Amino acid sequence: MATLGEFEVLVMLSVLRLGDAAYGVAVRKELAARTGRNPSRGTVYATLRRLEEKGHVESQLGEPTAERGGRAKRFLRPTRAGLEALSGSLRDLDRMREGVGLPAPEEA
Amino acid sequence: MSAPTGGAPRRLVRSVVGALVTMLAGRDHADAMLGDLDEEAAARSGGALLRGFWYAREASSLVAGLVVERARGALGGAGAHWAGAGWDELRTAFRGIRRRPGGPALVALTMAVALTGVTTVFSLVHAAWLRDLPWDDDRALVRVFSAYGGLDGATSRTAVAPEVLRSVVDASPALVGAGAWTVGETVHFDTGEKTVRLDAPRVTHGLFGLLGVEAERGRLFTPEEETPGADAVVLLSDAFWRSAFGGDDDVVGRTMVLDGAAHRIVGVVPPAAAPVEPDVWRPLALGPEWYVDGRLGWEMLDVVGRLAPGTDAPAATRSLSEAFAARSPDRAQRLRQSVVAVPLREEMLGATGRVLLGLLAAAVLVVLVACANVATLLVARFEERARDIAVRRSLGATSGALARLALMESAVVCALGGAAGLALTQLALAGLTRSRIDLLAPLGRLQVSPAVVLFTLLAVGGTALVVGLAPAYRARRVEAQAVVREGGGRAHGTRTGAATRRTLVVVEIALALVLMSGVAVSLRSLHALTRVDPGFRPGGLVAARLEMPAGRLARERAAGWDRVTERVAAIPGVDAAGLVYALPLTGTAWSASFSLVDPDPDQAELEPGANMRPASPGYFQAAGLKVVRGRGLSEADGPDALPVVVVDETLGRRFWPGRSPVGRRVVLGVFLDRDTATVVGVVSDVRDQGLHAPDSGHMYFPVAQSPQRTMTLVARSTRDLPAMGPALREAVREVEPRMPVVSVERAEERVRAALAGPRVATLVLAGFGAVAALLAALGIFGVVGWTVRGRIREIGTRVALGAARRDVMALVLGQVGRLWVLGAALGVAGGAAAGATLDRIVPGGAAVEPWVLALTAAAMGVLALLAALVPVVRALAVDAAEALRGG
Repeated sequence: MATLGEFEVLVMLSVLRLGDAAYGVAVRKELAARTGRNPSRGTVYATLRRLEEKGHVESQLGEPTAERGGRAKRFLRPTRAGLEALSGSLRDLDRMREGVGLPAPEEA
Repeated sequence: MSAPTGGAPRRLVRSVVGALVTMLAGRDHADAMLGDLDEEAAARSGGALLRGFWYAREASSLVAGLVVERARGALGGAGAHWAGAGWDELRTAFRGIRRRPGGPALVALTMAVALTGVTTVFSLVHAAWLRDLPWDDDRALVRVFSAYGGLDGATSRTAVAPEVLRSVVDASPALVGAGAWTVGETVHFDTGEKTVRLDAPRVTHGLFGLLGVEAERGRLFTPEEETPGADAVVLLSDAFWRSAFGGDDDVVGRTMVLDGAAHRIVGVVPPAAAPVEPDVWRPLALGPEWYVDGRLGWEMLDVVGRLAPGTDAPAATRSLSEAFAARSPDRAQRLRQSVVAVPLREEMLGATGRVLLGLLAAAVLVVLVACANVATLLVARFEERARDIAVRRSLGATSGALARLALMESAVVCALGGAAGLALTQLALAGLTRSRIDLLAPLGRLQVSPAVVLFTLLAVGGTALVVGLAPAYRARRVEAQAVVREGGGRAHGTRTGAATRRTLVVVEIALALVLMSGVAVSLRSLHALTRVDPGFRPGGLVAARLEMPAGRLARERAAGWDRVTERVAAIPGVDAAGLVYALPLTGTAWSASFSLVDPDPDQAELEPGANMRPASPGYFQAAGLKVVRGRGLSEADGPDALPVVVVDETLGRRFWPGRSPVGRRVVLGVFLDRDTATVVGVVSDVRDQGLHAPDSGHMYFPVAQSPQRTMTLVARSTRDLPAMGPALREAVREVEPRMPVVSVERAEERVRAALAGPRVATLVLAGFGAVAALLAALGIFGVVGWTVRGRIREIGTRVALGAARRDVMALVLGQVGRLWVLGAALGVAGGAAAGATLDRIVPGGAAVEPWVLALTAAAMGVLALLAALVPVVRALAVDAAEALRGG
């Protein structure tokens, strides 16, 4: 079964959280808002592109708007395979985590 | 707010970004990504400049991310992993450096120093070799010389006679063309206010065309102007046009008075129009008298030729020499005269190139030492962060990711070092250009060129890789448990880390040793050079170059020279004065051939060349040459007396081995009326063309019997130049008001100048050696000190159990000793191997001898002990109780 890298997991979760409003700008904002990380544009878009190529997300064009230079948004939605891969990766993390004493993460 | 539109630069940036993103992500996806970018840009506040920066940063991030993604796809598997997270690791590396800048700053500084050295030397090498000469297809250009075979196949090269140019060089199928100019001709330019001396060679009309040079103003010479009588025309050099005429556009067509005759200016040639850059050029107009066979020995032309397609210099030499032998079988056989072609680049660079290659090798060694040093620092840095790394490992960071982080850190510091190095190189090159060192003169103006920047980039990439490999390797092997077990999170690192550092220090010692033996060899050669007896006594000798006004007959010149010498000798404080064609070590050579009237039957050598030196009777005494046999020149050797010559010991040995030259007769065409002269004496040798090698011999004859236009007046005096210079000029003006004093200098300057090149080269090499040794010492200091810190508990235990100070010292010094023995063994082997390159740096270089290697190895040992001093003291101070309690 396909597994996801750490950053891919975060991006998938971000897409999930956003639901119908998931497109590039929103995904990046959501990631930044919830994790405090500030991943570069290149990293986020390259990951989205990869997830789509692997068939973990699919996309669909919205309406072009003037403020976007007449360009359409590309809305994202996880595929079934994507959801399976995501839950598989999360389950692996949980199982590995079990019983391991870790320092509490510092709050940003 | 609207999307950032408008403005030509912005439109350009946007279309470039658009094209890149479309190329990388495909049209559909690119559209959405660019739309997102615009949307966010539109939402940003701030001035246009700030938004421009933001846009540029975000766009380059997007492009970089997509490129990495592409690479990941292309590489697949392991490679993908490496390419993948590069961007994030770069940020992590930066963050790490920002947090603890001390170590990385030291590393960047080390790299900056090492890279400055190698980049500067590379710039010189590049200027010397890789840069094209400023002429069309310069690799096909050759210098053509007359050559005379000497003993043991050695040849001496001289300029070419006009007849040889016409009948051999111009006619040769090996060359598509040739051009020539006369050697060392000057004229007096009467500006109306004063008389100025100009370098004014005569040149064949085809030279500039052959080099692909066109007139900057006006035109070049025509073939018709090579006729005596039609040759009162002149071409200005760009520099002279600017300095004398202020770059006046209307200069063409005006007249200049040269040597009393009006010359019409027909054009201006651009800078670097020919291998020499005189003030003005005149046409080479030679009458038929120059082309009779007896003039074959009048070698006055410097010749450049262009090789025919498919020919090389050795083939051209064969072809030219065969043609010469067919033209003059007698000279070819009796004098072993031939005509040779030498690649122009080689000829123009000569010694400089060899020195630079040696220095480049040395600079690369310094970079390697710096790399090893920096690698130990980075390993230590990783070790100190062992706990951090162990935690990352346990959190799932792969060993690959850690290795990437290590590489990224080294890349960042090396890049910083490279940038600083490039800036320092620019400064160094500006300084070198200003320094006007003779050795660098052929290279012209030095600056950081695109090729130098590219070289620096490659060097940075290479060093980053080399430097990053050790910590990357270490990072891959860090096991969480091992760190916890061995180091307990303290600053001592692991056992494998220690081994890595020790290995690197051994490498440093070895490389530093190779460099230091190079320094030792160069110092020995330089020392030998400074002790060479130049054959004359430069101390207290002042030399003035004088020129006889134009238009005087030979006898008038002879009388004029007499007057000047006599007057200068009468200056108070002048002990002796004399005239000579040129002082030794001035680079002035007047080589001419002669023949023996009654050669010894067993005289093997047929080469008739000698360095010709007209001189006045007082010269030998004033310059400090000793008359070894017979007599020197005397006042009695006047214009009407029998021609006489004095030879030096070398010349005497060459032509009359084991016999006295005195009383022998020679034929040479330099005297007023007759050609046969008698040898009346032998004087001591001088070193003329350089201090490192003896010359082929000089022949002195009375200036009264062969009065030249240009002579050097030498005066031995107890007064120094500031007092002597004006007195000398005044004395000359008194008796010869129209005679320009071209220059006045101390003869000592000449000796110093001859040593300047080797001195600078040795200095640079010694600088490299010192940096390498210092780095090696720092490496030893680091590794030993760090061992002592790590073993404090052990040392404390030993002391508690009754170990003496001696034992503790042995423990620490044992480690130093092992490092040194290994490093020295490798270094001595390397030094012996590198000797061939390093001993080129100073001419007449001493060989890399075993005792030199042994001595440098011993010096390195002393340095190692010094470096270990502080750690040893620290180890001795260990208090048992404290160590056990605190450890």
